[in-house]
Amino acid sequence: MRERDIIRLFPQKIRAALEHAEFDMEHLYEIRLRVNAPLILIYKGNEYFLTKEGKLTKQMQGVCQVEAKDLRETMEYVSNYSMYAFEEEIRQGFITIQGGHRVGIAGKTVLDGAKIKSLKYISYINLRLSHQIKGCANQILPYVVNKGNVCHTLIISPPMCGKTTLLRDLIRQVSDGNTYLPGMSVGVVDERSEIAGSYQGIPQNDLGIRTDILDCCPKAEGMMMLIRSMSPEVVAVDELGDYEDIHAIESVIHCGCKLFATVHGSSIEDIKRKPLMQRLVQEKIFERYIILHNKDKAGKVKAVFDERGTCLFDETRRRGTLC
Amino acid sequence: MLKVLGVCLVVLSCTALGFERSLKLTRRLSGLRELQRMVLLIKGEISYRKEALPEALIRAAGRLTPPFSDFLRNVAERADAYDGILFADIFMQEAETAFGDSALTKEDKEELRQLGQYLGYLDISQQENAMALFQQELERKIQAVQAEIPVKKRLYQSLGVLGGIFLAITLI
Repeated sequence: MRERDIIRLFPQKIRAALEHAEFDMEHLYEIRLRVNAPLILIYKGNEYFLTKEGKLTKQMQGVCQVEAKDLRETMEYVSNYSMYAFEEEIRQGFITIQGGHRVGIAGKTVLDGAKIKSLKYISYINLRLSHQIKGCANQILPYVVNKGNVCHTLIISPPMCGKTTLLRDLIRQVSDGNTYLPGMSVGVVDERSEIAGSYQGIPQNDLGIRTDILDCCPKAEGMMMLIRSMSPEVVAVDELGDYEDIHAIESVIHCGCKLFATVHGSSIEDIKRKPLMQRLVQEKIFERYIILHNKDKAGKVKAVFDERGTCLFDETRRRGTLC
Repeated sequence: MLKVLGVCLVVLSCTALGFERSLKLTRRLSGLRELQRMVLLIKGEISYRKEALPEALIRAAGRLTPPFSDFLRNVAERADAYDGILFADIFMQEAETAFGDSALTKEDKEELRQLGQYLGYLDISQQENAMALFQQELERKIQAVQAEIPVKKRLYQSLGVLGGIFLAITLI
């Protein structure tokens, strides 16, 4: 089902190659289309070209080449022949489709003054396939729960290391309840529809039975809305960055809610260098920092620290043991 | 006796031909009006509800009469099937099936086909512009057909009767 949903997004030429593919789509992370360039797949963390017969190869001979009309066709299928319905998403540079997959796009920007109005001549498409790995947060749960309650947790990770996947499973386990704590109501502000992968309001990923989702909502506004309307015990957001986000976090914390968030980075020192994040670290807002890396596979936990910077878990030492 | 019967048949056939021709004008006018309604409904669904095109077509189809309703339903079903065919091609093929033997002229069908090329791919304002342009063109045609209908109807009907009489006289 998932395979068919993905394959049907592409023009006949690419469909034919993908239909004959001799690889497991479950390990396919990205499909990249660039105008007048070969089709590239990111499979099990490695980059491959796709032959017309559906084989993965590192050689460039006999591989699927992408032309301008293929990109246009792909956009038609991705938008279900309704590009106009995705104006706002196109302005932001991505469309979330059924299944929670994210289609990143680039091309020529159309400006309205200094603001991006739209994109035309879409020449680059990156289909990032959403993966729900149930149980991937098992390893961090003991560190996220302290004395029967969840901690304010920040997941720090470079891009493509599985921070959203980890956050998704963390939300699910906290919402459903687990061996460490009973189920809690969770409010998710899914600004880019990446966490729940909602399609027409219905989450495509399992975020647990006590989860309320605000889809396509700016994080800062969404967090406050959720607190006012749904009274969550935990609020979860992906990819902190703006001043407004940081300001809203303070409000969430002062409301007595627990917070799960993610941010791009590779260490606590790294995020301390970001002026906006620095204050949060210094004020010990977050009680747990989970650092990810992509050494062997996405979503691997490198280390867990508490608010004072004490290492609770270090992957480089004995696996699964305290520091 | 047989001759009289033959003459009557010739006159009647030619008269029927003339009336059929004049009726076609009326059918074209109602076809153009329904087409105008169809575009108006699609435009509403796209502009105000911001529905995806297949849903917009299905909703619009619910308020139209055949063959327009069937046409939109078929286009929407095929668009939802993701068969790897461009929307413009689906639209064109279904228009050919639905209106192939309708009273719409070749020119009307060509313009409808062109509308299919603009649907879906452009942004909202361009969608609206393309449909507004199509509507203007339809309005112009409707007015022209309305103006010429009384004259042409009389002309075709008279031509039918007179042509029949002329043919009958010639045959006698």
